[in-house]
Amino acid sequence: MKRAHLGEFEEVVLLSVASLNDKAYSVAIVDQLDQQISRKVKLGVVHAILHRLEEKGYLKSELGEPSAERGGKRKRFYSLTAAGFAAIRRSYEVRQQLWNIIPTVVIDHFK
Amino acid sequence: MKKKNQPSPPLWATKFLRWYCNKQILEDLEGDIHEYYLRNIHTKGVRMARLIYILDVLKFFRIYTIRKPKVTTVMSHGLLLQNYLKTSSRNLRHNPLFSLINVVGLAISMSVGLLLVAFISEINTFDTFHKDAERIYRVNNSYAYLGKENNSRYASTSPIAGERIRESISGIEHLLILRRNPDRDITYQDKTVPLEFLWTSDEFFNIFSFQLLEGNPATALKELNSLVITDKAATKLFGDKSAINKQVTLDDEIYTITGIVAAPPLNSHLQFEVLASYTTYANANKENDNFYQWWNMWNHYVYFKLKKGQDPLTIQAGLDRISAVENNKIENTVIQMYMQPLLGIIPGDNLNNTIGTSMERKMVWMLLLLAIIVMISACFNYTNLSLGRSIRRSMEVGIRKVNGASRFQVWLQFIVEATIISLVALTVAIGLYMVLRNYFFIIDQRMDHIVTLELTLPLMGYFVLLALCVGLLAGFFPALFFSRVPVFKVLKDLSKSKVLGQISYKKILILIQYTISLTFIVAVTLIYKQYRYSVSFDLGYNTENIINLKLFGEDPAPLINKLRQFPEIKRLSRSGLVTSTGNYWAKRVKYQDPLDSASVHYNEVDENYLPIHGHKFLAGSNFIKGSEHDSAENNQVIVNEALLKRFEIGTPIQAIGEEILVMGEKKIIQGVLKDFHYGTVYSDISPFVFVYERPRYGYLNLSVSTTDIFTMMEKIENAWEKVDPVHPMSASFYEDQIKEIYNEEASMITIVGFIAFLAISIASLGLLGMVIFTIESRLKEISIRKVFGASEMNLIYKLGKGFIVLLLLAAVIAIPAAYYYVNTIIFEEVVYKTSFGFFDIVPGVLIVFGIAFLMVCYETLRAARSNPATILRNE
Repeated sequence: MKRAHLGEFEEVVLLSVASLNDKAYSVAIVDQLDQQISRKVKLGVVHAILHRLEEKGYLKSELGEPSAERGGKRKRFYSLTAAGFAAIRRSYEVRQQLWNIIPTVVIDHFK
Repeated sequence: MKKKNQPSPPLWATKFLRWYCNKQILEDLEGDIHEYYLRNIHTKGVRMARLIYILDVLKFFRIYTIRKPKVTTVMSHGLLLQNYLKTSSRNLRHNPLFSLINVVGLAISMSVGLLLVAFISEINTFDTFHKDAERIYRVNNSYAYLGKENNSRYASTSPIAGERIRESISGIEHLLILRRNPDRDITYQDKTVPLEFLWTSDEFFNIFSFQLLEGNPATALKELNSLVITDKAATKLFGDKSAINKQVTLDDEIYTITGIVAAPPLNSHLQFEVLASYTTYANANKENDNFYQWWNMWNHYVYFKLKKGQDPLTIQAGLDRISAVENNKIENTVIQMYMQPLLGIIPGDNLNNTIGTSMERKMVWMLLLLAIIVMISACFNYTNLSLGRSIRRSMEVGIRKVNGASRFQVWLQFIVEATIISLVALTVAIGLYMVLRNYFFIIDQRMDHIVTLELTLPLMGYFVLLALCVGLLAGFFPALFFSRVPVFKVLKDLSKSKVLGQISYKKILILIQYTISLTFIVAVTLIYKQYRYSVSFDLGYNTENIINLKLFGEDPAPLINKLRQFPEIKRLSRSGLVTSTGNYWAKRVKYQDPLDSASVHYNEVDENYLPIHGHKFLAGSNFIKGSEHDSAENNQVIVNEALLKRFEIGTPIQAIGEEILVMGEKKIIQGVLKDFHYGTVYSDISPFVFVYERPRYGYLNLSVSTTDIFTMMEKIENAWEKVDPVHPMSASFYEDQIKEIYNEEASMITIVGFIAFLAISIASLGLLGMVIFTIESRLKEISIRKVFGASEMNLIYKLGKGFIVLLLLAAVIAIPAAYYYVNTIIFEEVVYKTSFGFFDIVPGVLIVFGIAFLMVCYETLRAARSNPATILRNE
C-alpha cells in the first residue's frame, strides 16, 4: 500500500464513490461527475483510476447481480476502504485547516 | 437474456475484448461498454453506437486490462504435454499390434516419401548457383516439317538465330552461341584422352558462374585454337603438372590451354570437360554452305542474359519477328523460336536434342504422385485403426473432458500421439531410405549423374518436417473425432453408444486403399506385357547373335583382319549406326520432281550388312562390291517399300535401276527391301535408304556363334586393345541394345511394381488391423451365435462378407481405371501395341484377393473356434 499524496482527480473519484454509497460503479460515477460538477470524463479514464485506487487500497469492489441492460453482465460496485475514507478525510481536513488560516483581508479582497 | 430486435454490438469486437482482457475485470468492463452502447443507440443511432463500441474496445487495450501471460499456464501446458506423451506412449505399448501396424506401414511409405523429398530438393537446386539465374534464358525451337512433325520441340537452335538476336534485339546484356560436340581426342605428348567438348565464347563466363581457376575470363576463349579445360580434365591429361599455356593436339591441329575452370557441379545442366573457342569452329565451317542456314538447328545452343528490369515478353516478340522473317526464306519448314528460363530447364519439358543432363518435370510429378498416394494410404491405416479402437479410447477422453479438458486439448493429445508414431516411423524409414537409395540408382543409372541423395543436415530437417506433416495428417481425423466425443453418452452407457458408427467411412478408406493397390498391380502387369512385346518385337530382320562393336574413327582394317581369324565370329559387316535403338540419321531425298523432297532416314552399310541381318529382298540384289575407291560402287542404294510409295516409283521390280537424288547426289536403286522396323514401337515405318559406305565412325557387326560368350568377349577385347589403346572397347549384343532403349519402360515397371508392392502391403496391414478390431468388438456376438449352433462356415461368411464385397467393388473400379491409364496415357504414343486380354489382369488381382481372403479367413476362423464359454463368462 502506497502512502502517497492523492491526486486531484483521484480525490474527486473517491468523493463521488462515497457520495453514491452502494450504487458506485463506473458508469454511475461518470454520470455523477457530469451531473454534480459538470465534469465530462471518459469511461476509460474513470475505469483506469478506479483500478489504480483499488490497487492503492483506497477502494474495494465486488460484483453485483446481473441485469438485462448490460448484455447480462454484472456491475462492479466500488466502496471506500478505511484507508480510502481516511485519505479523503485527511485531504478535506488539510484544506479546511488551510482555509481557516487564510486572513480575512484576502477573502475580502476577492469579494 | 438479450431483448429481441435490439441490434447487438459487433461480435468480433466483443471477441477481441474477451481475448485480450484480464479475466478479473472482463465481465464488468464488457458490461460497462455494453451499457454505453445501449445508451448510444438511443441518442446517436445504431451505426454510431457500434462504431463507438469498437473504439471503446480498442481504447481499453491497456497495460492493466490485458491478460498477462502467466508462468503457471505455460507450466501447466508443459505438464499436460508431458502427460500426453506419457499416456500416448503407454497406449502405444499396450497395443503392440496397433503400434506395429502403424509404425511399419508409415515407415515403409515414409521411406519412399523421404526418397522423393531428397530427390526433389536436389532437383530444385539445378542451375541455381548461377548469379542472376532468373535473368538467363535459352532459345529453344519448335520445328514442323510440312506441318507433319507435329511441332517437335528442340533445345537446340541454329547459329544464325544467335547472330540475328544479337543484331536486332535490344535489352539483352550478354548472348552466347554454344556448339556441342561428342567426345574428342586430345593428345598431349604421347598421351591421348577423349574429352567432352563445348565450343563457346568469352560470354560463357559473363552469363554463367562457372569458376575460372586460372586464366583471364575476358580473353581465355578469344584467340583461335584456345581451350579452357576443367581441373579434372587437366589431371587426366597432365597429372599433377600445371596445365596452363600447354600445347595439345586435336585433329592434327595445335591448341593452347588458356584457362582452367572448376568442373561443373552435379546440379548444372551443362556438363563439359573442355571449352573450346567458338571462332575456331566457325572459321573451320566458313566454306560450308549449310552452316549459316536457318534450318541448321540441330547442334547449336543460344543462351542470353537479360538486362536488369527487362520484360521477357518484349524479347519473345523479337524472337517471333526473326522467326517469321527467316521462315519466309525457306520452304516446307516452320521453325519457331521461344525462350526457356534457365531455372526451368531442370526439371523441365520434354525436349529433343537436350544438352547435358535432363530431367522431365512430368517424371518428377509422377514420382511425387506415387509417393503421396503411398503415404496417404499409410495415413488411412492410422485413421482407420484409431477409430477402430474408439470404444476403448472414448472412455479415457470422457474422463479427461469431465476433468476440464477442452476440445482443443483432446485434439492436441491425439495429434501428439500420431506424431510420436510418425517420428518413431521416421527413424525406421531413414534406415530403409539408405537401402532404397542404392536401388534407386540401380533402377535408373542416369540418376548417378543427376543427384547424390546423400543425407545432409538440411535434408534431415526436411525429413523431420515430413514426419510432422504425416503425423498431423494421420492424426487429424481421429483427433477431430475424439475431441467431439459426447461426454455424457460415453460415460453413461458405453456399450450402447454408437461410437463405432463411423463404419461407413472406414469402409470407404479401405475401399480406396484396395482400389489403389489393384490399380497399381494391374497397371504394372499391363506395362510389363507391352514391354515384353516391345523387346521381342518382330523387326522384320535378324538381330540374334549379333554383337555391335563401336568404332572411334581409327582405321578398322587391322581389327577386322584379327577378328576374322576367330572361329566364333562367323560373319562381319560394317554400319554407320545401329537401327532399332532409337537412333536416326536423315538425308534429303528427291525423285523426278525437283520440288518434292523428303527427309529420309538412312544408314551407311557395307555389302555384308544386309545378308547378316537377314533383310528380305523384294527385287534387285545386295550391294556389289567394286574395287577399292571405286566411285561407282558408292552410287548404289537399297531402299524399302515405303520409299517407293512415298515417291510413287511403282512396283519393286520397276524401281530397280531408277535414279534418285540423295542430298543432291545421283544414286541408283540396286535393290528393294521388304519394310522393316528400323525405329521403335513408338514410330511407324517411313521411307528408308541404305547407302553403300564403309564408315570410319560407326560399328562393326559381328555375327557370332559360341557357347562361351565370356571367353569370346575377352578375345575380342584383347584384339581391340592392340588396335586402339585409347578408347575402352564398347561392344554389346544387338538384343541388349534394343532392350536398352526400353529401359525407361523397364524402370517404370520396377518403380510402379515396387509402389504396387508397398501399396498392397500397407493395405493388407490396414485390413488385418480392421479385421482384428472388428472381430474383437463382435466377439460376444460370435459366441452367442455359436451357442445357438452356427457353424464355422456360417460365421466366416457372416463376418467376411462385408470385406469381400469391398474388395470386389475395389476391383470393379480399379481394373478399368488401370486399363485406361496404361492404354491412353502411358502408351499414348506407341504405334505398335500389344492386345490386353482379361487373363492378363487375373494373376495380379488374384494375388491381392488371395492375401486379403487369407487374412479375413484366418482371423474369423480364430474367432469362430474360440470357446464361447470363456468369452461369455467374462462378461
